[in-house]
Amino acid sequence: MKCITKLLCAAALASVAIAPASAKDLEKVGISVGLLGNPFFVATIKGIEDAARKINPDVEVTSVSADYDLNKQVSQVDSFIAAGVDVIMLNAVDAKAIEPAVKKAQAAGIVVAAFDVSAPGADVTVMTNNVKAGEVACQYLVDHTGGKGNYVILNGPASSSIIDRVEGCKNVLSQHPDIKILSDDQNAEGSRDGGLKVFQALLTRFDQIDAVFAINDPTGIGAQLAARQLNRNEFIITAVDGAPDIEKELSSGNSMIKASASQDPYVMAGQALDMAAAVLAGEKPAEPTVLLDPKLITAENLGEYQGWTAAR
Amino acid sequence: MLPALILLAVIFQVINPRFMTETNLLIVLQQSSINIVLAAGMTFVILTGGIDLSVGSILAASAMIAVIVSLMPEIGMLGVPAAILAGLAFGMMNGVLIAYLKLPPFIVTLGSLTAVRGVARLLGNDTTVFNSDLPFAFLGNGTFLGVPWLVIIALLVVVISWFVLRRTVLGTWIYAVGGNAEAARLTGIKVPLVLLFVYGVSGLLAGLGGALSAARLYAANGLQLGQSYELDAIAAVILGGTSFVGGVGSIWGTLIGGLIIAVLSNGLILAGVSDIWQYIIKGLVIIVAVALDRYRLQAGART
Amino acid sequence: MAGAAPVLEMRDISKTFGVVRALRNVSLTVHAGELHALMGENGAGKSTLMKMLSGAYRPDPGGEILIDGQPVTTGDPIKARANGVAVIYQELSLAPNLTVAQNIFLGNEPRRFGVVDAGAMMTRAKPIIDRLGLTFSPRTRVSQLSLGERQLVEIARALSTDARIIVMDEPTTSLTSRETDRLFEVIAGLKAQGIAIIYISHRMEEVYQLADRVSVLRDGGYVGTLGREEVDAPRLVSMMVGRDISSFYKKEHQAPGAQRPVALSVRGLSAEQLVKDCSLDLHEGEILALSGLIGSGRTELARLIYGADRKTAGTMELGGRPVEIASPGAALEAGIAYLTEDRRELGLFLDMSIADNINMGVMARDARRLGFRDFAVADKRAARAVSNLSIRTSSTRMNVGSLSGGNQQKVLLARLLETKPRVVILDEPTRGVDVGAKSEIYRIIDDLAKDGIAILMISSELPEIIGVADRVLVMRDGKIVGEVSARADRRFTQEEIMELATGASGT
Repeated sequence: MKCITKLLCAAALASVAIAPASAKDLEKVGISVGLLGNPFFVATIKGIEDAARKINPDVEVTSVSADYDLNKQVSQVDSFIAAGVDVIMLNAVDAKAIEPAVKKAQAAGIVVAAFDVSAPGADVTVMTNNVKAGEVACQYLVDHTGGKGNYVILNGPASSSIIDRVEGCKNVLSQHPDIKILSDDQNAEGSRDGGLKVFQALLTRFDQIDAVFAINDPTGIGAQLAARQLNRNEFIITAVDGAPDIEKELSSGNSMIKASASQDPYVMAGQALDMAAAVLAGEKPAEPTVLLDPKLITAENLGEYQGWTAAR
Repeated sequence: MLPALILLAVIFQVINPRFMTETNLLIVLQQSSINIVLAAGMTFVILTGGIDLSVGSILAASAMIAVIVSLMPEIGMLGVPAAILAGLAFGMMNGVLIAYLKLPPFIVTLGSLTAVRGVARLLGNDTTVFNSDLPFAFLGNGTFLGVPWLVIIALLVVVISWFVLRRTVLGTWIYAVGGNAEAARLTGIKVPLVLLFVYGVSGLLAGLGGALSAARLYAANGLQLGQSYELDAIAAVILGGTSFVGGVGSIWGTLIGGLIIAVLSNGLILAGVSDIWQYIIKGLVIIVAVALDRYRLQAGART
Repeated sequence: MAGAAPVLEMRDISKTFGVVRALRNVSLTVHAGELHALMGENGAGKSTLMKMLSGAYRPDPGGEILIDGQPVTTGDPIKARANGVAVIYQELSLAPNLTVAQNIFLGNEPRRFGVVDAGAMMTRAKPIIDRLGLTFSPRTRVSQLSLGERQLVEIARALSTDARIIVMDEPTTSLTSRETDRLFEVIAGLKAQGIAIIYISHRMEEVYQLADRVSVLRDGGYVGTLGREEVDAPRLVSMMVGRDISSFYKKEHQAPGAQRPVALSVRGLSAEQLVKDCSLDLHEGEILALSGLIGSGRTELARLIYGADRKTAGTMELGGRPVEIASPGAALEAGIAYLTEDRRELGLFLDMSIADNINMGVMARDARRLGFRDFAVADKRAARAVSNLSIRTSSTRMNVGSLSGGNQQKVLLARLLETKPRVVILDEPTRGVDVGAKSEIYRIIDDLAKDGIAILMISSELPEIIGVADRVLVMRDGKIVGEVSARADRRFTQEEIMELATGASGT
């Protein structure tokens, strides 16, 4: 396991060390993620499972997909309460509206750990610093366009992480008066399909684009597919995630996608589980919310990048 | 419904003169292609008075199969027929339940909407499968004499559908079953066979749609791909003037309906309308277009 | 009644739709307590005239409607109802899932504090139901009632609005004769209470039995009114069709008797419901009528022979060879064709062309390679059928739904004949068909028998059976209870058939 900040390392080691002397043992864990189909969440689940097995090899882990549906997630939390889990690992579909469900679970004596997306009132929270992710991805664009030109932000569903990424990007871009944002209000649905569709139309609408920020990797790849079809290559693209398919793109050498602000879902979720186990054991975490800094991966540093699917 | 399509095109052209450029029109055609392929199958089904809610899920499962097969060395090209056959198999399953067990189409395909989605996710172990050297990528991104393959395939599907519906005995039977199923049975028409055929066709075309999707995106995702595609396909069919109770409608109408949906999606982005307003406008345009069409038909019937 | 001021006067009513004049200067006077029959072929303008009365249409300027001698506002259904006009249409307009009481007050519910007052509804329904002498409770769901009982609920609904003029449009079309009798009793009661009834019907017998006066319309114009004592069939028919119909029933084919071979032989045919151990022999060139009350199992037996329903026992022979008919397709293949009693629900494809409707049964036989249709053959068949059966239409490409009832029936007959059947089962071949078309259909049936085709005809109209059939089988409670055949000296009579059908003779 790789620690990203010193603070985190300290917290992790502390929790692992103290865990066994517990008020309550870690026997059952429930995980609800936004979308199981996303390799990102597959990695988070693996991170949680591995971390949990280290604490108790017989731990029972159940993971379910909320399919980005708040209703579904609330009933999943209800089911977890009924099943008597010790810890709920929550990737909130809606960072605000999930609050009552969190309260209900806590009232039932369950420790709630939020990861990737904040959840109000959660006992512990570990997430990527999405503002930072937007900042580093867009800083790369600024650096490689000389701080000027026409920019496009390919937006996505209005979740807190995506809002943060766009905010981070705009923080950087706003410091450069010569940068013009052509479009930032088109929802490409965070998918290849959506990225392709939306960017096809934007390419028709705008003759000259210098840089594109896609709120996640699939959107960026979709945008590149659109550009290739229309033989446009005057711009560079960056995205956020560091997903397996972007690794392939970056390594191909002729990609318009130049960089992706990578998250480490495995570490993030594992971290959250460790902290939750510590709370379960009766400890108060020194810092209940931990923000992991993203790392910008490019063709140059790709070799050092471990990726989401690496066996660990 | 053609006037509505032309009107929309003129409005978008006035707002943004780039709308009616060759490249953009090709983009619109391309974006409409997969929906038109699905809607063609949906037309068969709705003409019999049925509904197929499972096409989006079948598309996803078939796309998964297309990409997975494409990753096998040597036989990658077989991804396309594999996807089509898988779609056909799913469609036939719907058909058997509806035609021979006499279960309501809405319930059966609502069930397979969920079950086949599960299969799609299972196929890729619930992750995105991708293949950047997809052997049949030309289907999704290539052109033939300047026309995208997607467009050629969608048009072929429409033309073949027209032949089947209007020039074959089976086609007349499809209209007959939709118009009056009991009368069709008493006339000696094998109604279950007709139903099996239409759900088979719908599945097969959803399978083709899956192969095309995979070819376009170089990837497939069991959970996300094709979500709510069935609604776009149904919207295209209804915009095209096909009656929801069956027996009345045409494949050309469906073509126009599919184009209206694609023109709306593309035109609204070109016009710089934000995502939220796009939803509102799309919904309203669909309702207004159908309302105008009804009004026009009634006015026509009166004179 | 005579001499008293009329309760209703319609004066100089005309109605033009675009260029079509549906009604020309029609006048009609109806007295309280009178049953005034309104007759005429389909399209003669009866329904249009009644729609003026109900307020669905407004008459052209110049026409007026007086109720109790006072001119009333026209073209307003709500005013018409307030004026005491109620119309009971052919297609009943009841909500099957609601109770009798709810249906009676539908759209006119007693309310308290803006909410439907269910208690008041029941108490107010009771006297109306008693007044009609109905035997079912106001709480019964309409879906549990028979068609005849539903008809009575419609009348109860009319009474609930204090109707004084009730229009009944072909009320007995789908009633059994027992239900018809019940209806007639109710009608007599209504007349005694001073209610005026306008009665639209195609059935001569009913008109003889009920009407105080009969008015006849033809082609949108008023032809004349006959008093009760002047009414007789030839006179009414000639008024309706505008010419004398000397031989209404055409019968030129020779009754084959036993000397011709048996085309269809049925032994012990039974189904789960209604058909019990039925056997019959049908000869080539014979018209065998299947009579009996509605619900006696006639249609069920016909559908069983045709393979439309599943049998539980019994065998069939066609031309002396045993056959197994498991589906309508198999029946057609074997040479048995069936004309349904319900052409709109079970026969026609209303949204399809006349040509497609005619070819529906044979297009698979005509198909070219790969299942492509042969439109040349189809058009030829359609054109030939249109001319042979004199189907009145400008083009075979028109929707069959645009035709009148009689022409629709001929389209169905054409479809059946195109399959070249050897045995034809006709279920109520002239139901809902106007007089002119009826006589043409009788001619077609007669021609078929002349060609040696065996015909099994189900009919509820005894005059039709007597006029057309060579032999009659009577059904009761799912069984064939007797046979009536013409002898050299005389034809069978209505009484003979009715005795068997009702069991009055105690077979």
